[in-house]
Amino acid sequence: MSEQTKRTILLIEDDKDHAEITQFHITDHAPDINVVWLSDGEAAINHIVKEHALSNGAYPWLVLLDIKLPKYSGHEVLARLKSDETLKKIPVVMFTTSNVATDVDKAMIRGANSYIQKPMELGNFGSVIAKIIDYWSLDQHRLIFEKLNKP
Amino acid sequence: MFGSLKLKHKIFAGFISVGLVATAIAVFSYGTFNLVSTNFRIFVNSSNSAQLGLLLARDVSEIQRQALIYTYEAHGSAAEQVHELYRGMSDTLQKSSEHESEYIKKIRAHLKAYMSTFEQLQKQKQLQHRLVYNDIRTSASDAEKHLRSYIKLISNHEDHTSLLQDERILNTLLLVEKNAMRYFDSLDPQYIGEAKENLAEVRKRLQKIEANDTSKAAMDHIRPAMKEVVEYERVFLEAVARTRGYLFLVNVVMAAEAYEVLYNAKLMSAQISQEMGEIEQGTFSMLQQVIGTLVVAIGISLLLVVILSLLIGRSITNPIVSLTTAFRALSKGSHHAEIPVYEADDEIGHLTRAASVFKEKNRQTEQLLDHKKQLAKELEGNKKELERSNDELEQFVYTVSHDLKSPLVTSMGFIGIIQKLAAQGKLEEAVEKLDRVVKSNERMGQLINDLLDLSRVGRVDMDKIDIDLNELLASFHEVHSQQIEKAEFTMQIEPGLPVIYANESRILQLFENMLSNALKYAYNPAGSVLSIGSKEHDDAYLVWFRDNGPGIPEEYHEKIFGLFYRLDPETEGTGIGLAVAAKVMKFHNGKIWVESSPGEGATFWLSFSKNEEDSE
Repeated sequence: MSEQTKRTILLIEDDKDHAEITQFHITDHAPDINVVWLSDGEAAINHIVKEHALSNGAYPWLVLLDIKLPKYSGHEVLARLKSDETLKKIPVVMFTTSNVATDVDKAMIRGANSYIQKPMELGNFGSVIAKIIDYWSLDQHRLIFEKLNKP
Repeated sequence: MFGSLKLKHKIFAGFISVGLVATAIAVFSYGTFNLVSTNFRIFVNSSNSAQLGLLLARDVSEIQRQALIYTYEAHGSAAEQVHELYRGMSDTLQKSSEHESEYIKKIRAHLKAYMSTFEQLQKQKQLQHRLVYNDIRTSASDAEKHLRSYIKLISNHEDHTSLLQDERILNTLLLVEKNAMRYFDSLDPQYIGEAKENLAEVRKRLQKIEANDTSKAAMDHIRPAMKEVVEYERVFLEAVARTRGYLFLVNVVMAAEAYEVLYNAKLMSAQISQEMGEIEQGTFSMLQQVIGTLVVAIGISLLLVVILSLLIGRSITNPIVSLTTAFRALSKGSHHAEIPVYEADDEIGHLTRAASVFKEKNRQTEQLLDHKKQLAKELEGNKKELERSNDELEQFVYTVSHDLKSPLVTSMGFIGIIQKLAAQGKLEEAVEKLDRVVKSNERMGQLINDLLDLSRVGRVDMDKIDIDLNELLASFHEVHSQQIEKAEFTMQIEPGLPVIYANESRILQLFENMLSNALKYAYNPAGSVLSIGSKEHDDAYLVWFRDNGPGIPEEYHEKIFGLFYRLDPETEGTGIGLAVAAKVMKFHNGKIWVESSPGEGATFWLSFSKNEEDSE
């Protein structure tokens, strides 16, 4: 893992508490990962586009996307990301309390890379976050990320 | 004109009118020809009368001829003829006495006079006949006898000269007779003179003898002879006078009468022919006039018949045509078809009523169709409503599941963190996090309460009453004054608010939500004001809540009334308040909406139907 490609997780979450819990577990599992928290869909889209323009190709390593968001919903943010030729290479993990079939179907059709329900069982939150990070840290995923962030 | 007549009566009226016209023409014609035939009879009669004139003229000529024959020939048959003709003429006159004219009377009088003259003539003639053939002969033969006796006496003793003279007297005497007979045969007056001369000579010779001879023989024979000669002359002259008399009668009197008859007959004929001419002229002109009148009358009658037929025909065909149009429209299902007014109780009347029935049926069908459409529309509406209701329910379940799970995730998450921190020995940090768990659980409790509130709208305590909003909002203001003050708000309530028919506790719940929303979102650092007022529309009262906060972008004007929708996740609240408000308004058959633009504050409109009480 090179120095110049620091991994950033874009956390798009309107619930302050959930964001805090998620952030805690990410840092707990992989302290090297930078977490950027955005509380609504509009801010998230703006951030991705603006950040890339400012830092010349600094794309997030992973996007954790809630569905129920003010302004733009998670589905809309997903559609926006996956309709862009470059941005669609960023893995998007839907991370939400909803487990209704329509939400799952909609997300998969629009190209979500995975769909994880926020755990309600005691002690599960940390292991779920760890598994997500480990999965996307596998070599085949890392190569895509490095290629994407090549200057 | 014929509108109220039955169809068959119209047809009868038509036939009767035609019949009446024909009868009228026939009666008129009959009268005319009757007049013509009367005139013709008169004409024929006149013609007969004219015939009579001709007949009379012919007979008068004949009778005059026969009278003349009788006069000269003295044939009894001629007299018979005259009488015969007279009788014939009298008969003819008698026959035509039915229209006796002045002329016929005159003719008859003249004929009578003619006949009486003829009878007189007959007597004269008989008398003359007797004188001529009896008295004259007797006197002549007596005088001759006396002379012959004298001559015989003197021949014995007288000389021959005197004898010769005596014989000459005898001859002259014979000459007298001869001349007299000639006269009576020829009626030539010349013979009268000769006879008179002869007689004068006889008388002179006899006087000479008487003067010369005074013998007894002369005394005995010349004197009687003289006497006879005188007698002879007297008879002869009488006979002449008679002859002249009847000649006068026949030539003057009878001729005049005959002429009179002829003249009158001629006048009569002239008058008759004039009358005939007049009649002919009159008949002709009358005929002309009658023909003219008849032609005009027939023309007018035919015109009347044609007009009448047209009127009757139209009064029959017009309704039929209109009815046909109406039926055509009716057969297409129209109920606007115009049905002609027709009152008579006949076939067309029945058709008209049938058309009205059709129209009514069409109207009912149309109504049923409309009703069906209405039902279908209602059904569609109900279906949509049901679908919407289902969607809403789904949305509700989805949101509830999501939003109720959310605090659970939070508490479990923090508890997990606390456990981890505790395991790592970071006790202080762990205790800090406990508060987050409590808050999350409290929030869950709040959510459950709000959801119960929402579910209670329209389900519990539904009684509606008349609410005077002026009173209600005044007490509302008082109750919440502390809360308002604490949020640094000013509340202004305009006067003249309406009285609405509603459920008081729901309305209070609604107002509380409106107030808490305003206090939560409409803060204005320059001084927050929430004003409440109303406005009246034709069918609704509009109550408005106006703030001077930051306003709401248009894209959220509908979303904010959705369940658990929060404009700002940072502010506390469950996102149920406006959903409850919308449900309360729906329960009152009203509406709620917002008018706002960023920076301009927001106005929430509540519309209460005026007919709410009636629709219960």
